[in-house]
Amino acid sequence: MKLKSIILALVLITSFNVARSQESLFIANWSIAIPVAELVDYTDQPSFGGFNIGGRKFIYDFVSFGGYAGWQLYHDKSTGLHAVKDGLDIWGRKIRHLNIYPIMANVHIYGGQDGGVRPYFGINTGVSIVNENIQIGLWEVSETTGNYTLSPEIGVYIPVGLRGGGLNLSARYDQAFQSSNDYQIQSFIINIGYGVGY
Amino acid sequence: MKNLILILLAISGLLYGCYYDDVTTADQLDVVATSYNLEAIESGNFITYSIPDSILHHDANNDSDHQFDQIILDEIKQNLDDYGYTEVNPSLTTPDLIVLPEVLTNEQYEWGGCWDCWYWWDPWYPGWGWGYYPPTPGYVYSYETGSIIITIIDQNAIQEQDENSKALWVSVINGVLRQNLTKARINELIDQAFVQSPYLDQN
Repeated sequence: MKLKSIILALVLITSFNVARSQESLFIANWSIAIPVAELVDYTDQPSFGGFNIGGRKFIYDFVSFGGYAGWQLYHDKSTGLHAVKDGLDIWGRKIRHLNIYPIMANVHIYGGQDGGVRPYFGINTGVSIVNENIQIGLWEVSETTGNYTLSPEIGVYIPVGLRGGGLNLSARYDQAFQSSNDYQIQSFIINIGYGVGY
Repeated sequence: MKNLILILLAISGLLYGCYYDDVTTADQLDVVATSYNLEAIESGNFITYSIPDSILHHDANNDSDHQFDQIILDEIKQNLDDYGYTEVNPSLTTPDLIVLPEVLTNEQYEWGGCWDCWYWWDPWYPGWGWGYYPPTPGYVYSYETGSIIITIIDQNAIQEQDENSKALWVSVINGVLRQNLTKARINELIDQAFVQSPYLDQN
């Protein structure tokens, strides 16, 4: 009788399979960006228009390699006099859009246990394709540049449910270095997303 | 995986709604640009000017509207007078400056339509599905733009026949021509051209 109880208890416990060993993680995030440093001269408003999707492959239980791609939109609008250069002034409604498309590789180191809450930190590196569009009245100028980007990140992955899914929260600092454009793009990004482990 | 796709679509939909709708009226497309030679303006002692009694229209179809011509001339003269300049009759007195107002109109054509569209329909309803749908018809639309160009030239440079001389000051006022364009708006834009040029003030 006692043996039967033990066997029954073991069967019940193993049938729940809550913690499945994770080999890969696929995450989609909504990103909020706050401009800092030189980018504040372009716009001081936070950007709520952004997302990124990526994947991570665990080579050890506590280390993953992966990458992500995404999009972030900065926007600025002002009406007034703009000094374009010496000897040229333009008054009107100036609208600026800055679309940033990062394509990054990354490595992350995790704490916690597989299947549980996993804080992590890591580094992202790659290129950001930056398209700047300036419109004044009926006139429009657009420029696209590629900028080397470095981005340290910290975050936490919180499992939700029984199928390997979980909530991803992270913060990172994006440093897109100046290239043929004339300023660096620096921002503080907050990611809120959902991931699926498999 | 299905859940992740739905979440991605939801994010896309939300972000599409986040794209800014920046221009809502034609007034917001009005622009006043001024190009100037500051050194020449500050070094010259300009007091008098002459201005034609009509405006030159550059118009391919020769059908541009002349209803604002006198308004434009009067407002230019008012601003120059406020800045301490005096209008003279060029047949009696040689002016320091020559002021040339012009109007340029142009018709712009744009096309629109969706030639290669993928549409999403809710796959959970029977009879609909993902896929490619026939293109919607294209369309062409046009709009007319207008520019008021005011050029101020140093009379001395013309007399010396200096081929390399440039205008002292050029103002281009540009926008979409529209039914509700008023005298007040024209005056406001011409005033703006002079307000943003305080170096012209001789007072």
